[in-house]
Amino acid sequence: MNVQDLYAISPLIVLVTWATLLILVDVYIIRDRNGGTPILAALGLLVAMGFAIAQTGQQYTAFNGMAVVDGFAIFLQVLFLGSGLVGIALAYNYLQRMGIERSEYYILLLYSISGMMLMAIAADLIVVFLALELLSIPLYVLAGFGRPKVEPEEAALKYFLLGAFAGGFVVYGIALAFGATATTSLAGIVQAVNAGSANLTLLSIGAALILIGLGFKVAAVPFHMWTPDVYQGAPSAVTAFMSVGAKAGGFAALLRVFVSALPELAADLSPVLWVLAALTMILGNVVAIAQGNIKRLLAYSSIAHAGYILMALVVFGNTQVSSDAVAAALFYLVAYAVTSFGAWAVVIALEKAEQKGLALDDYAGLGRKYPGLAAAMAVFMLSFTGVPPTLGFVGKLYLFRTVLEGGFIWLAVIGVLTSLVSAYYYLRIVVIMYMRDGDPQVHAEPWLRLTAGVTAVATVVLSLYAGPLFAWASQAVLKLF
Amino acid sequence: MTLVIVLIACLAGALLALLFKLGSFERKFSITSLSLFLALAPGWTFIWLLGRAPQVIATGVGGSQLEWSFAWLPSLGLNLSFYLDGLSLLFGLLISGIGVLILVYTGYYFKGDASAWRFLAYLLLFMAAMLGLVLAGDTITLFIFWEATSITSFLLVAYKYKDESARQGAFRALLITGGGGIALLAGLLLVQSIAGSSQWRVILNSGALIRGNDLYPLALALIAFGAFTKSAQAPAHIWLPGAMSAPTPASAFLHSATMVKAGIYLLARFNPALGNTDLWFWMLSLVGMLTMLTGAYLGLKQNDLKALLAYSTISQLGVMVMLIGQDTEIAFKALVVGILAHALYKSALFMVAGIIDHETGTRDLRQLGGIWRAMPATFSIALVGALSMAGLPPLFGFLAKETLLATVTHPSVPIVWDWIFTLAVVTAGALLLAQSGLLVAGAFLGKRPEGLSAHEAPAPMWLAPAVPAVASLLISALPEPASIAGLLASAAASAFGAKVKVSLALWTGLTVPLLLSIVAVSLGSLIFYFRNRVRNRLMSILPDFTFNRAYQGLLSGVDRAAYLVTRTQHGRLRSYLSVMISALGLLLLFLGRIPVVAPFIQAPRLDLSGELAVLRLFSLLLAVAAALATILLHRDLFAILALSASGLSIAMLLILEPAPDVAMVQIIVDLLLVVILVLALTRIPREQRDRARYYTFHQGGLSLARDIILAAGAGIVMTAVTYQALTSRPRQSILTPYYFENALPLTGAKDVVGAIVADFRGFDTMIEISVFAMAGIGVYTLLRYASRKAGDRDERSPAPAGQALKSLGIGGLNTSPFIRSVASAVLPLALVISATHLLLGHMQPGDGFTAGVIASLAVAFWYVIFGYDVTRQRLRWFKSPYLTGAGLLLALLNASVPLLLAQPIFSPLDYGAMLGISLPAGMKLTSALVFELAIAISVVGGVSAILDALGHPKDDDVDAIRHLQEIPPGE
Repeated sequence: MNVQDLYAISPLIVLVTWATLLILVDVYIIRDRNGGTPILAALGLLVAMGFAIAQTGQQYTAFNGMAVVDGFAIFLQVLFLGSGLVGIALAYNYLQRMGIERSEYYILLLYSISGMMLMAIAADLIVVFLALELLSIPLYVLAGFGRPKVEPEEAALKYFLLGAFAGGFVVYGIALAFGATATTSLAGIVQAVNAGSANLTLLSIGAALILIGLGFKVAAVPFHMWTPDVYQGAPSAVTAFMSVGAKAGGFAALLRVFVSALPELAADLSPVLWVLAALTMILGNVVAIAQGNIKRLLAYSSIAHAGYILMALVVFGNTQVSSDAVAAALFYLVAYAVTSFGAWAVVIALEKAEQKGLALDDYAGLGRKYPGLAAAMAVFMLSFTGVPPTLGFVGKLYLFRTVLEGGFIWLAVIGVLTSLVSAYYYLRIVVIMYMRDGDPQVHAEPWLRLTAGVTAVATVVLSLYAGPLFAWASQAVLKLF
Repeated sequence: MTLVIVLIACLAGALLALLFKLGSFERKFSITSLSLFLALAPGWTFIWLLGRAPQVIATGVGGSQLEWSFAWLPSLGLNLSFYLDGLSLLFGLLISGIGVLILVYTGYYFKGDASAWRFLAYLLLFMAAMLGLVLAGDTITLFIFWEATSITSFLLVAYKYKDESARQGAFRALLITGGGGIALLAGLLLVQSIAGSSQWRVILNSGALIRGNDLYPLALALIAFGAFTKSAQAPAHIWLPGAMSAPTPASAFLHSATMVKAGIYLLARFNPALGNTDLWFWMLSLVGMLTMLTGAYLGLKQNDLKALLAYSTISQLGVMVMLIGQDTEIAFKALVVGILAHALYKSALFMVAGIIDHETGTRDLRQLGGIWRAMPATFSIALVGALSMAGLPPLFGFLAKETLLATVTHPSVPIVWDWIFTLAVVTAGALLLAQSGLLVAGAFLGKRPEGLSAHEAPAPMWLAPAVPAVASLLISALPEPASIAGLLASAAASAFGAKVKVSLALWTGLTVPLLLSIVAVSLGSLIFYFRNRVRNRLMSILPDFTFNRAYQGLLSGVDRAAYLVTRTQHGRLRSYLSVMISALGLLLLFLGRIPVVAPFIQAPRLDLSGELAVLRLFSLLLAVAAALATILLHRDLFAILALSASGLSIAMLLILEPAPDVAMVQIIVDLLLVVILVLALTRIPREQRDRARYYTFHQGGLSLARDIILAAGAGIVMTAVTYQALTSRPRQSILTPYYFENALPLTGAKDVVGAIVADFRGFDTMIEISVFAMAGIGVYTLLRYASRKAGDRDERSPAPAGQALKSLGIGGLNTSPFIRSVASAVLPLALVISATHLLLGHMQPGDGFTAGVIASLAVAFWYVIFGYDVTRQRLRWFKSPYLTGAGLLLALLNASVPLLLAQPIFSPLDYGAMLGISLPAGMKLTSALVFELAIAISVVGGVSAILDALGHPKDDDVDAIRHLQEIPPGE
């Protein structure tokens, strides 16, 4: 242990300290809640992001192999911090408008992000679990942020109870993995497996339990059932953050654990992941069709997208393809994050108090009355479907190609066919916006407009000029040393 | 020269149309002049492509010729590349050439309608997409432009979006063609992974490799699906008639020369790579033939001019698909001749239909007739177009049909198929001829209905269709136009993969095709002559094949399936959990490969020798019994106590292990949990608790049985797993010996667990206290705001010191002086115990966490005995933000101090020794101690947040009570 250890977790330290100080600052200095806290929180995210970016290109382990800094960790940390910034921008006016403006939102957000960042650097199962809890607990609270209304309460309670259950699975899985290999460190597990001293059956059972717990976080079928209820009940700004951040955090852990530590178990686990991915894509997309509420629709759409990212995980045993798969998953995560945030910004602009303004029919006439907002939403829907020239298209292309190279032809075909199904409900929104008459009420505050505009432009421009992002994702190869 | 320049020209045109609107130029320029100006873009493209023609034709088969590529994502093999050979040249010329005419025509069609700039912009965008599609040099570029044509054509079809049928038609077109595009993507990716490249150049030369691959049928099916949907092959043809709700210029462009031909282009393009197999032959021939007959037959039933033309288009598309399926030279000759002929006459006829609609206000054949006098120019054009469509000499259409009829013999299939093909082609030809007759006779000849006003369109408007009409006359009438033949031969060669000879001579002697043609013409004339009878009797028997019901049924079936699945999502936590647990059980059974019964067959002998074993058995049984009691006891308070008992039995097991540290944590956490749960329960109104109990314990026998089976199953599986883990895990732990050996020398701790927590895994512990603090803040946030309704923003401040408060216990009950004095004594006592835990953390069981919880327990006791106000008044220091913040900061600070001394973070330091403070024997002021203190403080902070929020007596949740009243009561 040395200074490098500290340097390894410097973004994390900055963020946690900042959040802790922000509690005190918020209570004793910013009493009148005139918007100082969100700005300070955003500043903290930017500082932490600076620390994270400063580590670009470095690779080492810290704290006796408990944490690891590599391209994967840096990529994800920047993604998490960026999604935090969007989370603040989305909430800034929304909380006020909904009468739930409390500065704890920003503090909890910061803590949750620190959990995600910890997840990105975790190289030990114990740290993975701690990160999971640090990530989740603030989210449980944020889901119920609309208290004392009934819907957010229900959302928070459901999320918490099922989440605690899922967390239990993870702990049990870690215990079994420890039992199988006598270590919790990922590198140690690889060693134990290579040395033949591990009990592989036990290890794969442990891995399956971890998979269930994390599958819950990323909303993979059949552990997805909380998603629509919670997404609908939680305040939209929280849902937006949750649908990106929590999912990305879960995938960070899944990728780290499975790709780097468990490739030997692919024979057992790949079929399981295959089934999960296929179920997730099919169910998410099919059920989304039946939704009349935009929040529920986006919830199912987020389930479906989790299925696509899971496809990348299916090839984790194939070491030739797996680094490509990791890059594809990360690229897709960014594509999903950008698109998703944009869509949520539009949803928030249309939402009114008491869960009004969330029906698909409320989008009728948006194309005429607010052409800019409608155009942005159309871009997001096309990106979700995977139509060029959008990020969603490049992401899907890369994913499908990787899966094909990994030899999972039918999975790729399922992916393509479910995308076809998804066109049905995504395009329906476009049709409603442009082709039906209506009088939508919009609160397009500057931050919302900025978010929608920037993400829409990014969705298109980054797809045309995807080189740098792609190169960055490709560098994010998992290394355990 | 770079090929992309033609796309840029069209995109610039679209941009100009937008500028026209944004710059408010509509006052200075009419839409007509804009349209004429924009026609320069495709016009220039046409000339540019024409200039490349000699070079392309000269290159011959198998090589392109003009390539240009732009690195997009090189590492992913993604390039935007373009490629020009005979086939793309033919399509490019058709698109740009007809594009010019359409733009000219549009300017007059939308004359005076300034808002038509939108239409022009869409049209140019579509043109760019279409050109990109045919000029694409690799599969990905092709796919991108393929989807772009779907989207831009959607915009065009939905242009009159106020019209419900336009919306329906546009959505259907988009869904079918866009969806087909996605299937195409999968096929293209498959081909790419087989051929190892996405470049046409490579793919076209690896035909044998692709055809030999196991995945060939799948790839072919996916690609064909994409092409068939785009080119309106039966039964996906149903979108094309619906798309006729587009403005006529769009129909004339999209549905004659361009979009529907994209599928034809794709199949022709892929022929060298995918063709020449039985599968290819049968799939394309049969689908094409079916489509040809369907279109020809349905067209005859139509009364709407545009619908009639749409069905005849479908029929011709079927012909083309059928031709591509056949790997003969003559078929590809017929194909290219057919493509050109069809593009010429169909665009002319569509524009004519638009003129008729424009000038008379209707395009219903039943309301038209006898207008040839009023519209002589239009009539002449229609006549030429219709004759070409009918395949009569001396028009180009005749040539197309002759060549088609020459293709119907195949060497490799049973002779009966030759007969079937011949019959089908002749029948379709006859029907098509009847359609042409119907069109001309119905619209222009016969008696003019009363009240039908008609006058000739302005000259430029009819000049636009006149150009292709005259062209189709000239090409066949003039003696052997070598340049066109060369162009067609080059296109056919690209598609066929070998040289194709194309001659455009009209008269080739008395051949079998000519005889067949005569049969077809006679039959067609007969049908036309008896058209009324045929249409009334024969046609009314057969169905319409619009597949509306199937399409609707499919959509509503999908909808219904979606709703059905949604019903599993009813919001009940119990079943969500059931699903998760069932999945877990299945997963473990799959992975474990252990027969569940195994552990019970070879069950270990029960070894009860020794008191410890008996005690262990006892505490195990107690734990199980208590756990059972938690779910069986109806009163919530009792259930909590039973839960606690279960936890304490586990603690007993841990003590016997012996793991005193862990046991101690288990005990105090258990106790704290009980206190917090009880406090939380008091906040819930009794009525609500009763109701909850009712719902928990009243469930049907079936669901109870299901739950029991599920729980038992999960229990058995987990038992099996645990048993497996216990019996087969590696016995040697790597870590334990290390900790045992190094705890004392490295950290000065006799208590190994303490050393692990504070020293070895300080990193974890740091995060753990953050998590704990987080939970505290979370609970505080949620509960505090619940009580704080709108407008009520004051902080909950404790009563000022010295003010006498009535001391009421939890739930507003009086507490006796005796118990109050006990409580008063407990707190200092607890603080002392905490302090010893802290100080001796490294020597004996117990650590900062236990110290914090013990202190918190005593405070919790105060909340129960004295009530909220008194506790807050007396314990002012007990404030969450202070404590949490202080604890976390102290921990961070302590961890960072070694850094100042140039030592690693979290490294153990002995502050006492460093500062020279002499301490009593056995005590050390180490960094570990400070860390333990920090842990204790933040734990107290976290708990205080929870207690403060839960203990507040006024926090009646008004909304919860109101909500409760809305729930139907139980018993």
